[in-house]
Amino acid sequence: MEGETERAMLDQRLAVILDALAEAVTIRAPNNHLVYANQAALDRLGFASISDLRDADPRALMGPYETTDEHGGEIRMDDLPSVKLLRGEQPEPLLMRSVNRSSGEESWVLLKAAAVRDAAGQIESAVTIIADVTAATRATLRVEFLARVGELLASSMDYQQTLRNVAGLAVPQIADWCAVDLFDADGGREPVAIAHSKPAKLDTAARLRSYEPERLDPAQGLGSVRRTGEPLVVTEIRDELLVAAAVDDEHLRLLREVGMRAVLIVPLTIGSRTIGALTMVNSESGRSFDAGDVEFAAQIAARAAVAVESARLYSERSTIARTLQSSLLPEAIPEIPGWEVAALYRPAGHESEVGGDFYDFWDVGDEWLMMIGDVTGKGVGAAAVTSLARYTARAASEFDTRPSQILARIDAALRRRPSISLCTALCLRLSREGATLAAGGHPLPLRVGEGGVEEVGEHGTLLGALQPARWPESEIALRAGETLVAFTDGVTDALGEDGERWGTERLRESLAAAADAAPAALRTRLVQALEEFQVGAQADDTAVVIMRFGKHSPDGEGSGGRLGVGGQGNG
Amino acid sequence: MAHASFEIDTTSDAETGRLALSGELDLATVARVEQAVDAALARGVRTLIVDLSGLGFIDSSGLRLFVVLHQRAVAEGWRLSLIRPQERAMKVFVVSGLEANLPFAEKSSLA
Repeated sequence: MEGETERAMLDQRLAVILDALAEAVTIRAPNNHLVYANQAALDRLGFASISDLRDADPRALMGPYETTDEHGGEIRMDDLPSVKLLRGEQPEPLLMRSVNRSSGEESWVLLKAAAVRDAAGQIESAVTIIADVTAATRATLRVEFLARVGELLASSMDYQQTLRNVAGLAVPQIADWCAVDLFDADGGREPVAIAHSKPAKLDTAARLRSYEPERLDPAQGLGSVRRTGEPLVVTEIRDELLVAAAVDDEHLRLLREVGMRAVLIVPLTIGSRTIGALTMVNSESGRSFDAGDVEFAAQIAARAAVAVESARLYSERSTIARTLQSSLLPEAIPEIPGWEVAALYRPAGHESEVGGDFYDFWDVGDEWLMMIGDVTGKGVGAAAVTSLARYTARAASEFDTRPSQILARIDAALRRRPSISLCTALCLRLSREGATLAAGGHPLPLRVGEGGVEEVGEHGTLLGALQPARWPESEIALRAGETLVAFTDGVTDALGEDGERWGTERLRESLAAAADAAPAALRTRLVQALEEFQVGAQADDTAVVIMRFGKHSPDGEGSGGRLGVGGQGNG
Repeated sequence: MAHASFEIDTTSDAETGRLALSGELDLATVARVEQAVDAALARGVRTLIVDLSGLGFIDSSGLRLFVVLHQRAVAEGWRLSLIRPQERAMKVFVVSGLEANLPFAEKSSLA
């Protein structure tokens, strides 16, 4: 009797613990009925109590959600890991996208199932843990999507075709339909591209668009986006709205047939001019648009605008790659507490097809990450790889700010690409205490100080290259006033007279001669030394990031006044 | 632009091709190595020895070439051996962390 009481108490405590979990946990019996769900699972499934759940038809449980896998394929109950497990299979974890049919909210969940066996080893039930991985999955998908967009935009001079390709890429991942319109100076519009997740609906969509006036009404829809230059998002489309918008009965019939759930229009902007708009519509999927979607669509539109404008202004496709490439550099060097920073970027001469160098800074809580890198390869794909590396790093740092882990994530993303994509990168985490670094096939930085100039850190494997790979991490001890200089091989490979290269020794010497200089002054000295040495056109991009460790006082006040010496040099 | 001259010295028998590279291997010269490799493979060579000991400089496009060749060899089922360059040119492999991943062999063992 006492044993049973203890058991009951234990069960009760376990139930309390399970109910406190953010992850949903369910237990499925061999007859496929759910026999237990913790609070998170009950909320997700929309049941008030476990006993209601037990009585429910298991096939009806997926009812409130439209569920698909990451490629858009439908997921049925028989595909769930727990159901597979009860059938005697060994299921892999399942990544599932689900859209709540009533709210339109999209989420990504990872389902893992484990078997509970009785004394005889027979499966008694299957436990499923359902983790919400929406943020991580979206971040990953978006990074990969933006890289593909970058590649598409740089791949053709025919911007109309390019915009059609971008629209095609956006469905169904981001929206059920995607359209692009360009505007002329007098408020006219030119429909350039339209794509639909169900090609059969394209005809309806095209007919519907023919109802939109040639001259835009500045008060609504595309016209208002053109006028304001701001995104427009409509998340609830009631029938009254359709009735009000319809020009005639046929128009209303088409509007109703499409079943729009949400509309998002973002402008394509160059400077202060709005040259067009990207329209996304959700219907079949039942998805709505949230703030993250607006931001993401704006990023796509920004790239598309650059491509359109470049195509209009120039005739060389390398120009687009170059423009995209330089748009990937930070606009200004941020102020980093405890550090004084200057950077230099000199693009290679225009006749060169060498792919680009890049650097980036971003904050992770109280600390900052700096990444400098060099994409190996020729021509237009380089900008896409740069963008992939940069956005992967930023997304990765939301989960883990260790430089070694960030490099590992970039390496994994590069490996997923269909063609060999190589990239060197040096990642540094800067804090008030010092720096932590890892290198992936990138020259190690130099520490410049009273003790002279010395290389710091440990070499790691080129990203996207070969396995096994390793990225050892080093803590770099720094005294106040000491400087770290990170650079790309364009610096040391610079060609002088008689085919001689500038080399690491000359770099060290010129740094040693200016060891006390502030970063901006050091940058000037470096540029002078390089220009004196170099003959002919610069063959490769050159990037240098100079970071002086501050003399901060114990109360945490950094050397604020001297910070933020930024800007880009010109070649 | 003064460029150190780049040359490929090709010797081969039925089974084994040898490419001895000298000068500077960079963006301007990698395509010539690719062509020489393709020509050797077209002749039916199953083992390719690329001798880098005469190279004074290798840039990142040269490094990329060896990563690509190594992956091709694995995928296409032929054998690639690399003979180490001089220390100065070896640096690109050290920095890339690929010294242990690429099929470097001692010159003596391949003589």
